[in-house]
Parts: sequence; structure tokens; C-alpha cells
Amino acid sequence: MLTAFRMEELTAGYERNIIFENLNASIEYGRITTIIGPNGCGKSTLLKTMGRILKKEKGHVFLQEQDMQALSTKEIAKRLAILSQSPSAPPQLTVGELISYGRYPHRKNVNRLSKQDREMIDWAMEVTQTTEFEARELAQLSGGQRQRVWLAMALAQKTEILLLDEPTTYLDMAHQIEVLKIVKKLNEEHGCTIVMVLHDINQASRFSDTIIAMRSGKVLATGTPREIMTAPVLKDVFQITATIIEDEDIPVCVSYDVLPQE
Amino acid sequence: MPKPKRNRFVFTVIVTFTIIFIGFYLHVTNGMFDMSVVEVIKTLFGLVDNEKFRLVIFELRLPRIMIAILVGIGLALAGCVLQGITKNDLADPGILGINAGAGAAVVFFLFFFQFQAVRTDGSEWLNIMMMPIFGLIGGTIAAAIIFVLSYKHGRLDVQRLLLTGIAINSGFGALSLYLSLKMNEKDFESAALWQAGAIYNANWIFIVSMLPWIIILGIYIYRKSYLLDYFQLEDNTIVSLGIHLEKEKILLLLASVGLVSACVSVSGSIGFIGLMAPHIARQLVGIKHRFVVPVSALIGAALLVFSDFIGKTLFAPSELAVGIVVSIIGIPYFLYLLVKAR
Amino acid sequence: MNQTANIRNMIMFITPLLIIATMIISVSYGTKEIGLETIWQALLHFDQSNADHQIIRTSRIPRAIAVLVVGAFLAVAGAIMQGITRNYLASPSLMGVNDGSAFVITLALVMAPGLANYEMMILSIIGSALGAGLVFGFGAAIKNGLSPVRLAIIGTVIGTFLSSVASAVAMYFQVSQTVAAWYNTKIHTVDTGMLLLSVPFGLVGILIALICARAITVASLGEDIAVGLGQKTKLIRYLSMFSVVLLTGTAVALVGKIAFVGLVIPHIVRFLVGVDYRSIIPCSLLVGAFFLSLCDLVSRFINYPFETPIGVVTAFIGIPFFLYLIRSRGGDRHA
Repeated sequence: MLTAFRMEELTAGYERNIIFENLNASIEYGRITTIIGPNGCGKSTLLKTMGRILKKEKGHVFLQEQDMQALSTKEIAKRLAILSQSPSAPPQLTVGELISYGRYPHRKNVNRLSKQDREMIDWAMEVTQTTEFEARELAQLSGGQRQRVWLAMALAQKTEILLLDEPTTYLDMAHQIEVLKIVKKLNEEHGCTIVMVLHDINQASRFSDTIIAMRSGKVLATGTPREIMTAPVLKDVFQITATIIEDEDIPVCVSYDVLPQE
Repeated sequence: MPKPKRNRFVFTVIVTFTIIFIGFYLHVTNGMFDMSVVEVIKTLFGLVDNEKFRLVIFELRLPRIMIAILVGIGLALAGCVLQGITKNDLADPGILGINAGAGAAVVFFLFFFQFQAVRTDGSEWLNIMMMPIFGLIGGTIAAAIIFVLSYKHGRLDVQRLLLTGIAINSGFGALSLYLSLKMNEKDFESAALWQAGAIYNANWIFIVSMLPWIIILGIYIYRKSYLLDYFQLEDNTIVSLGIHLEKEKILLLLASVGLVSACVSVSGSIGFIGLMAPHIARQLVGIKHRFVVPVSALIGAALLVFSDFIGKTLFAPSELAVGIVVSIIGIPYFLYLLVKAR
Repeated sequence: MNQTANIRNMIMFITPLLIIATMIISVSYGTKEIGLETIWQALLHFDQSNADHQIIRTSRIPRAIAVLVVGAFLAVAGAIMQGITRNYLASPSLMGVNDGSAFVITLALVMAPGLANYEMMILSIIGSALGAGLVFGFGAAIKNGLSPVRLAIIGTVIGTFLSSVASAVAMYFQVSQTVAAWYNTKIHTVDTGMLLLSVPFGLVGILIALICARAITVASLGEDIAVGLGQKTKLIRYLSMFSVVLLTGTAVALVGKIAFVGLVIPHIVRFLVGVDYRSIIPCSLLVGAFFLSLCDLVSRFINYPFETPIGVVTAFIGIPFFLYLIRSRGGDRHA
């Protein structure tokens, strides 16, 4: 198996607050992998550490079998893009301008876009269906449109790997699916490796090849949606009793209850 | 690059240049005695043999205007950078503590050496540069303290930088107060004047000593101005684009420390130029720093030339410190901008 | 709960004793040492011809009481401000109150020299109201203006503006040093008349603070919750700001600008007695009074026989504490 990431004895956290310790995991290249788990389980922390936004305390992260420590941040930016949860930018910024920021790691002349930059930006806007907004200011966009613009910025980076931290939070239901469908298309048509954190287990089930389930800083289970979306795993991870059915071959959690008090 | 924005930029630059020129004209023709334009021009080109005119123009008025322009540029650039890296449009170079530290050092100097800080002969380089050098040392110490205290867990926390600045400023303020109350009246007045920001004792040595800083650091900041665009995004996003966030932040911060030190050491503490100029510039040319940076520099220069002109003439023959004029004019306008931006 | 109540009771019990001890030291030591007995005599059987009695009655006791009262006023004012604005940096000196008062007083010194004490007192209160009103007015009118960092900056900006105008005026009329001295050495000139004058203002301020204490606790939970609990948030805001203005205005008029008492004391008290302002306000009052008395002693004896301005002493004690606050709480997440 070709790995996109391999974490070895990884420890990370915020200031003195360690979120996970000695974590081992790997993420397959060319697939969509989703990390799920209850709040505070360390799923976002893990994603941020993989995207070197958060400095690790100990251990190693290997990006395509290369120790990330040895790579310059610009080098990393050419290989992976990470979109953080509900990012913000000045409201007067135009969409085109924001997306062009994604070209930073590739630009030689910072004040002028090359032909290739231009092509990549157009492509990113096309994939995310944001071409029509190019001249608009961010303030004029709806939440769903804005999220697609951010996605376009990450795409303009033209990386093989894309990390997304809860890309659907604060979006309407229709816009959530819209964004996830773009993600799926990126994977299927452009071979992008996707690693994301999702809140909704049914979305994770529908849009992922692999699911990593975390709880209290530990990886409890890794597998296909069918392997993870089972009553015993969900009981371990979320402390719920879940009822799972299959809808068009995709396991769906239709209802759940808290564990009975003992 | 969209055309309208560029046109607007060019237009703004032309207008600010004109304003600076008007300020220059007013400044150079008015003063202890007024001169006509023809007299000024003739003196400038050495066509008239009037020793008094020569002295007034070359030794008094011209250096003073030059200093006003340079200090205005320096503070405005530093303000641009600081507001950029702190992501706080209320940041002012004053928060770097350089003003307060320099002020304390100068008070200290005056207190222990009872130096006549008012004009000396002008012959001795050391005599003239004594106060600036002390100011520079004090300013650097203050900046270093603030820097060290804001640095935690391997990163420079900008909110902490702002607050630490406020704290250290009041600390040095208390120190200055303590010393200045023990001074004799004459030294107290010159210390107060210096702290309030004054450029009336400008001379060519000051200009020569600060010009390289302004040019080198100014060019550096202009070349890095695109980074300030990126700094408008969140730290996470900046890092994910492959920008070496901490390194760039610290380099830019050091550049502004250098600029402010150079300015403060010759002009004393002049606040609010660095706060206002970038604000005004953004109102005029938008948020792209390739435009904002040069326009702020010009606006800073224009503001200071005009403020100094007002300080010179309003209560003539007494001088009102330019720093005070800047605060009095600048703060209401600044507050207006803030309220409007809501 | 019980433990904080215990601590509160302990503070209520011990601080007055400490205050009395400090006062005795403060009154008996000075350029001239005066025995306890003489002090007692001076209080009970005042003898006008006795120089010691004169010193005690006209200089030392008024001064000791003045710092006591001012410490209490400033600490209570700081506690109220921090509670109402939910801003851990709120305090009289950072919020333009001092500068406002200094501004009006400077104008008064220039335009109408020789005003009576009570007139100066009222002017100082008006000035404090002006400063606080400007800072909080702009804070409320500006986006996010009431967040700790922004309010601190707005406070500094407006403070600078007021003091710039004041120093322009002072410079023009060449009274800079007079003004500086008026503010920083005022503590010597406190007399019984001034003290008596400050009583009504201060009492009203403290009373409002104590009455509002419960409401301030609710307000410190946040505006939404306060409204949800049926509080008239506007009324409480105005009332408590009125109290702040009275307290700080009186304090500035009595002894001039003193920074950091209003910032530091409420934090220490909150650390000790918890978040209930019914405990915080009375405890701040006592601890503030004790703290400033102590600072006054330090200021008199640290560089004996010269006096160090008391504001310098509070600044040097307050600033390390302020830095500690920033370091422990002033990160991005609290901005």
C-alpha cells in the first residue's frame, strides 16, 4: 500500500495540554480518509499536526514516506494543502484575489501571476463552480459559496493531498452535500488524496473509502465504512447504542440512544 | 491587476505628493520671518547672497522639513507592518515600547548629566547625537523586553505583544515621571519637550544618520508588502500556504523596530502617525499592501509636515511639540474612521 | 463555596487589623518620630501649641486616611469595571478616567487659578466622567470595541488625546511642571477639609457599588444571560459607571493619578474569594485600602528622606503583576 501519511509515536497538543500521545496510524494514498470521533478526541489536532499547522511535541509524521521535519514549509505546501475549520479573510478581499493566494508556494514573481498560475486558478474555480464570483468581494457571498471559494484556494495550490477540517460546519444541508461532492469528484477524477475530519458519521460513511475512529486521543478502529459503522464500534467510540441499516450499499446510522446507565 | 484600482493608486500618489509639496512650500516660506517664493528658490540655488536667508533655509527650515518627511515615512511604514502582523488595525508603533523606553533613557540622561538639550553649537557630532544615541539605547532595551515577554512556546503571540507593550510603556512612563520630578526646571522642560515629540532642532547630521535606515528598511518592507496581504488571513491558512510565518513575522517586526528607533531617536516620541497613516491609506486605495505601503508612507510624511507647520506657527513664537499636534489632529479623525468602519 | 466564604471572612477580619497597624506606623514615623502616646493625646486632647499634635492632626493623619480612602475607591472602581465589561484589563488608569480628570484640572489651573478645593473636586469628577464616557462611548460605538485589547487601545488613544490637549495648553501657558507636580505630589497637600469634602461623593459611590454588587455578578456572566435573568442591564451599566466616576474622580482630586491599584487588587481578591461580587466589592475595598497604605509607606521610606511618588511605587508593583496576567491569560484565545 502506498501511504500518504504515516504517524509514528506521535505526540501533540496545545501548549502544555497534550491531546494525544504516541499515536500510530497511516493513511493510504489516493483515497478519501475521514477521521471521526466525539468532541475533544483529537481528530482536528491530528489533522493539524499532519498539515504542520500545529507543531508536534514528539514522534514523526512521514509525508509519502519522507520525514516532514526534513521538508521546508514551502516544500510541504507544494505537496499538501490544508483547509482549516471556518477560515476567515478580510471581507473586502475579492474571490479571485483570495484564490490566487493559493498559488503562493509555486510563484516566482510574487507580484505577477504566470500563465500557469492563471490556468490553475481557472481550473480551481471551475471545479468548485466559483468562476462567476471571481470579481466579487467575500462579504457578498453566502456561507456555502464562501466555503467553495476557500476550497478553490486550496485547490489552486495544486497538491496531491488535501486536508479538510470539518469542511461542512455552519453550512446548510444542501451546501454540505455540494461541498462533499466536489471533494469526491476531486478524488475520483483528479486522483487527489483526501483526509478530512467530519462531524456527521453518515456523511463520513457515504463519502469515505476509509474511516479512522478516535476517542480520547487514541485510534480505536480503522476500516471501511462497513467495518466502522457497526453498533459495537460506535458504542466504543461515541458511547451510543446505534441502529445501522444499509441504504444503497452505504451503512447509515438511523437512530441512536445513549448507553443505558449501569 | 484590475485597472480602476491602479488608476486610483496613481491618482492618490499624485494628490499626496501635491499635498506634501504644499506643506513644504508653507513650511519653507513661513517662520520667524516670512520669505517669498522667489527668495526661497534663489536661496536654494545659491543665486542670492544673503547670509541670513541661507542660514534660515539650509540650517533651520530645510533640515526640519526633511526630518518631518523622513520620520513621517518611517513611522507610517512601521505602523503598516505592525497592523499587518498583529492583525489589529489599532496597533501603533508606540506599542513596541520604543517611544517610552527612549523617553525614559533621555530623561535618565538629562537627569544624570544635566545636559543642555536645547541647541548646542552644532559643531560637535557627538554633542548633537548624544540624545538620539541614548534614545536609541533605551528604545532598543524596551523593544527587547517586550519581545522577550511576548514570546512563548516558540511563537510570538501578537495579542500578548500588544498588551505587553501597554504594560511596558506605563512602566517606562513611571520611571520617566520619577526621574523628571526630581529635575531642575530647565531640564524638565527639555525632557518634556523631547518626550512630546519635537523636530525643531533638526540638523543635517540627524538626516544623514537616519536616511540609510529609512531607505534600506523601507525598500525591504516594500518588497515584502505582498506578505502583508497574506497576513490578513488566519495563521493556520498562512502556514498552510507554505509561508514561514514565525520567521517572516519576526523579520518584519525587527524592520519596524529599526525604523521606529531611527525616528524616535531624532524626533522624540511622536505617536499616531503610524496608527493613522495606514488607516487613511486603506480608505483611499483598498487593502492591497503593494498600494497601501507606499501611500501610507506618503500620507505619514504629509501629516507630519503639516503638523509641524502648525506646531511652528500656531503659538509662534513659542513652539508646540509636533507630537502633540499630531495627537490632537489625528485622534479625532482616527476615532471617526473607527466608528465609520463599524 | 464554604471555603471561599471562609477566606472572605478572614479577609474581612484580618485586613482591618493590618490597616490599623500600617496607619500607626504611617502616623508615628516620618521626618520626626512621634510616640504612640503623643498620637493618642493629639487625637483626644488636642493641644494647639504642641508642634507634634499639629503635625499629626494636619499632615500625617489626613494623609494616612487619604491613601486609605483612595485605595479603597480605586479598587472598588476597578472591580466594578472589570465585572461590568467582563474585561480583565478594565481599570480606571487604562480607561481614560485619570487623563480625563487631569485634562479638566489642567484647564482649570490655567483658566481659573485659585479655585476652591471643592470646586476642583467637582471638576475632577466631571473630568473623570468625561474620560470614562469617551472611552466607553467609543468602545461601544466601535466594532468589538469592548474586547480587552481593543478597549485598552481605545483607552490609551483617548487618554493620549486628552493629555496631549492638556499638555499643549500647559506648555503654552508654561505651567507643565506645576501641573505635573499638582498631580504627583498632591498627597502632601491633603488636608482635613479635602477629606471631609470627599466623604459624600465617596460614600454615594461605595453605596451604589454595594447595592449593585449582586447585579454586577449577574452582569459578569454576560449580557445575554443577564437579560435572560430579567436584569435591566442598561440601568445597571449606568448606575455602576456613575459609581466608578464618583469614586475615581474623588480619588484623583484627593491624591492625583495613581495607576494599577484598580487593576491589580480586584484580580487578587477574585483569586481569593471567587466570582461573587457581593464578596469581591467589600474585600476589594479593604484590600485596596491596605495596599495603598502600604505603598504610601514604601514611597516615603524607600528613598528616605526623599519621597518617591506613590504612583511610581504602585506602577512598579503593578506592572509585574500586569505582565503576569498577560502571560497567563493574554493569549490569542482571550483576546
